[in-house]
Amino acid sequence: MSQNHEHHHDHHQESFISKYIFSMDHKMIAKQYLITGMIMAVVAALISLLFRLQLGWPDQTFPWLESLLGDWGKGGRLDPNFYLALVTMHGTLMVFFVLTAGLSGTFSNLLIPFQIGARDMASPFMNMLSYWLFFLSSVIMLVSLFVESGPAAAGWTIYPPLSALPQAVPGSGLGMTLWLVSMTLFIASSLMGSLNYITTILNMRTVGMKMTRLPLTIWAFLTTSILGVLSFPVLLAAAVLLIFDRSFGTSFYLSDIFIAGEALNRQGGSPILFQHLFWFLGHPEVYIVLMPALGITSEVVATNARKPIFGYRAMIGSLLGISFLSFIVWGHHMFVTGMNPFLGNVFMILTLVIAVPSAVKTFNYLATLWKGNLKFTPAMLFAIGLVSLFISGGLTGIWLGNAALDINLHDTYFVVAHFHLVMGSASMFGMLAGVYHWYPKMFGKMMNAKLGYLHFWLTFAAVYLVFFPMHFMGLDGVPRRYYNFTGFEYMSEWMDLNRFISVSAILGSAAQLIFIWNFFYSIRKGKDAPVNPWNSNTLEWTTPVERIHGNWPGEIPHVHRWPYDYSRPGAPEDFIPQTVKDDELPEELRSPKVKPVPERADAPAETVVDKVLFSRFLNLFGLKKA
Amino acid sequence: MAIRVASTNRKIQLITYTMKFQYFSVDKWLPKVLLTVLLALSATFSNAQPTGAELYNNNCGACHRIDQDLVGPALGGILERRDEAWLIKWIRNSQAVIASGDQYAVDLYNKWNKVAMPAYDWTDDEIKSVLAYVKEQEAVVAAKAADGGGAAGGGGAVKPTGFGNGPIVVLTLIMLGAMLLYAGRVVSSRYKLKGIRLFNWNSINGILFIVFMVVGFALVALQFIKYMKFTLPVAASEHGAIIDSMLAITFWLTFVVFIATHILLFGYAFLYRDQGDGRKALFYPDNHKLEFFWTVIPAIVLTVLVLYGTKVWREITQGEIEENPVELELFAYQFGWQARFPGADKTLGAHDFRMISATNSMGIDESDANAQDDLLVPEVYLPVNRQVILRLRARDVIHSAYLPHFRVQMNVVPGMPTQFVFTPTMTTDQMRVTTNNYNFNYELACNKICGAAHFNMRMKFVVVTEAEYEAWLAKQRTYFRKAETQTAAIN
Repeated sequence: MSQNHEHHHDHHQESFISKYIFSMDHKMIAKQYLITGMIMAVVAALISLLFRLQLGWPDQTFPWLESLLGDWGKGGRLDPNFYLALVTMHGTLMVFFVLTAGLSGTFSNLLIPFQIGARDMASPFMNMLSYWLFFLSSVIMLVSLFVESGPAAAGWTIYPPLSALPQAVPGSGLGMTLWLVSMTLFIASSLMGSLNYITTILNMRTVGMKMTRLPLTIWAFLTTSILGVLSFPVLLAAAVLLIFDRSFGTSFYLSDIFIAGEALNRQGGSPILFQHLFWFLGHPEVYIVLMPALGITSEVVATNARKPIFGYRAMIGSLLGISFLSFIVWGHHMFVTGMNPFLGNVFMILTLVIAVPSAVKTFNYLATLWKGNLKFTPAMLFAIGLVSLFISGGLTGIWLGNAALDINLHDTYFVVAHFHLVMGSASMFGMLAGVYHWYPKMFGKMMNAKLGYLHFWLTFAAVYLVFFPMHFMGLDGVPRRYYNFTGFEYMSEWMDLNRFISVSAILGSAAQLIFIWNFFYSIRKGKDAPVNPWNSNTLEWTTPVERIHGNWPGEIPHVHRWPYDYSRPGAPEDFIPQTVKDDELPEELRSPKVKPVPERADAPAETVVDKVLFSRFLNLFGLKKA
Repeated sequence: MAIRVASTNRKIQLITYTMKFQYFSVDKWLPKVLLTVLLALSATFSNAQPTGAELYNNNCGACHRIDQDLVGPALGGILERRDEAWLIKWIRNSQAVIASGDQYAVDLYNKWNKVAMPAYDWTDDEIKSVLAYVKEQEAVVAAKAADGGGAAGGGGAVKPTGFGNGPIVVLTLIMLGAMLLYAGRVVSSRYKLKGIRLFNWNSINGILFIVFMVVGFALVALQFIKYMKFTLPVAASEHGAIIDSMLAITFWLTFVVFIATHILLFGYAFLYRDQGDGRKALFYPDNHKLEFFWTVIPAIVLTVLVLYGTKVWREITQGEIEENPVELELFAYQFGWQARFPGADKTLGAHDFRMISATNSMGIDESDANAQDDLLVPEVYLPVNRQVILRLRARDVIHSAYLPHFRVQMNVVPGMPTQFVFTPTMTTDQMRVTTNNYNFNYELACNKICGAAHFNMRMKFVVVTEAEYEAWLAKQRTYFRKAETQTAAIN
């Protein structure tokens, strides 16, 4: 293990295990999150292709399905129960494992120490533990795909009584138990991560890195973590109560139920209670997924437009506004659940208020592009794509947030189109932008740009071809989570469109192979990355290309300016890194005098507590420190 | 986009107006009129006795398919598996057969997850007509399968079912693309040797954004033309018209913003692409006035929308109950609906989920006097222009009663009765004329994930004139069989 590395940065011999597996280095943990997230994304995408197959060709048989899925694909047809399980797992994996852990986990870990100028996280041990809990929860979630009664099948929102009673759907047997266990671990992991991020951002900024000099990525990670810390425990509470209902005969969510030939002796609970608890997390979760992507976009757009982000303070303000409001709008998921209609009024008003900070963000992005000098790196393409998807998906939020319109649109394909654009695809685009942008930082290599362009254009087209037509189906009243649409007269006319969507989805997924190939090929064979490939201002580009523990070989650089000094008139180049001192610049470019920041010692990367905890942890597995 | 007409009367006027307008082209209006008359006639003279197809589709179809296991086993070949007498017993009361210790019945019950099949108090003839329908469908399905194989296998080989020739097309496209890429690479490397950069990728990407926008807008326009569904389906209820006009406002507002912001986004991407000419970006970090305006303007617009929205929402959910409404109870279960009308006393009888049994599927309290004349109906008829109170109750898990044409949706929650009040304004026949679709029917769907056959929970709703409604109501059976004879006697 590396120790005491502040002033002598010679490499310590790290064992394979402490370097690649139980690593406490934020850079390695970021990569672990990324690779795990990518694996989960591939699984979730394949799952979606399976059910798109059913939706596109409901009358056809695919004999290979039986070889692949056994009884779940009897006669070459997807079993309706398994269809619901697939829909559930697709949602769960994508929302939590890919876009929460995969996105936020990767980039919070990678960028927080780098961009604020810290040697590592406040608690590297807790950081490691957070990843391994996430890993364990991923394994359990994937294992649930293989149990005899199938994985959870009550939708990713797992509304009881459907999720509480194995009699109601086979997936609510062992599959649901594993789902709950997995999510409990996931929540613990997420809490550890979030607490660590908040602590690190607040306490471990380098000299001169005031809160108002933080890159917007860090602001986004900070607000995201605060949302996570405040809302995930509520889901944990909901899950624990559900576990009690399922296993210990309580009736928190159950009442007046007659199922499988018997009247259950469960009285007094309310299924609506679960929905309140679930959406108290569920709505902030949308922003937990989206805000890191918006932060990444801000950084990528400013760097590649060679312009300061427009309205830096307004961007921070809108992040804070969205964070606050996201806690008090959850009821818009429940307009037609039988909730008191008076509450419908309240939630409608609050929901439409949240559109204001979102609009401000969009306009600020547009203003940043205006009169820029745009460099279309693959990251920039995905960032612009994100803005487009954010607009297209966000606008339909104004429809759905309106309780009266929601009566007909609730739970239809209109909703599917809305959240896949604004939350799913937009966040995924943010994640891809981040990977393309910080790949040189992670692996010291460049990805192939031309393959990146191809990947972007195919993906961008596919996303719109898949999700835009769904608006029309939703308006016509086609419900989501339907195994097929042939039963209802008015739905059957959408058969052709469904097939079109399925084909687009298959092609769009195939395009992701380009990315995966580019990603892994470039690790070994990519061009070597320069120190600062995008001529960016932020601190991470002042660290050496090769990975070293503690990030900076010498002292941690001090910060003298905000991160968005791009294209300042009179400056020799079109960027001024945050580390450039004022007296190195011509008089007119110096920032207004601020009070000198008192010098202080660098915070140690590992606290004593961590060291003790970690050695105990290794002892536990019989692994002595190298 | 047409804003829907508010009241029925005006709607009828609109229809007659359309007819007058087309007066001189007989071929256009005559079929419509004839069909309307025919439909009216068939509704009047049709036999009250439901056919096997109707019985099957309204009941059995929720859980069974002909050729595929669903909630229950596939019904194809059922008459070879069991004899008719056994089937009649089973359909009448499956729980009784199981209780009698019949081994086949017990095994069946266990194999299918102990999901009890509801009891159907159908006559022998009715059950036989259902079985005949199943037999008929077997042949249809078999013919379809044979047809699919035969037609595709014109060249001799039997083509496996699947994607058709899609994969070949895709593969060809991919290979073409790869060849183009390779050719481009060869050409550009030639030029590279001469020191010429053939492709300026930054410009290409900038131009592609404009191309993407133009093609994208064209496709959006195409979809609007093709589907003409940028509003909801034709509204057939009073509040539906209000929802639609609000939807129209929301649509135009968001559509304009959608187009404008995308023109700016993709336009800027194109205009300000780096062309390698050493241009410097404009340093422009802030403009408080601009930010103030684009915070306040959306805020004002949204405030207006919210105020309008809350008003409409209140009207729909907290509106007044009119005099003499039609009240009925919808009961959702895995996987189907049951509907109960109060009888002459206009009061629904009490219920308790503990009373649910194979013969009392809705758990109605037999000792309650109000329950005696309650009617159990196979499909729901509603009189036009009379307020309807839907009372919603679930047996097992959460379902959702969804009637898109009436702009009605409300979850059906076990342990928490919910309701929705609306007034239908278009009869089924009027809708058939308006939508120009003579197969049109109002259908109730389940819109909350509830298990395997969630997609298959259907019930037909028919809106008729007051007189037709009364006539239909008089023919309905009471919920409890013992009361049946009395009603029959009265009739």
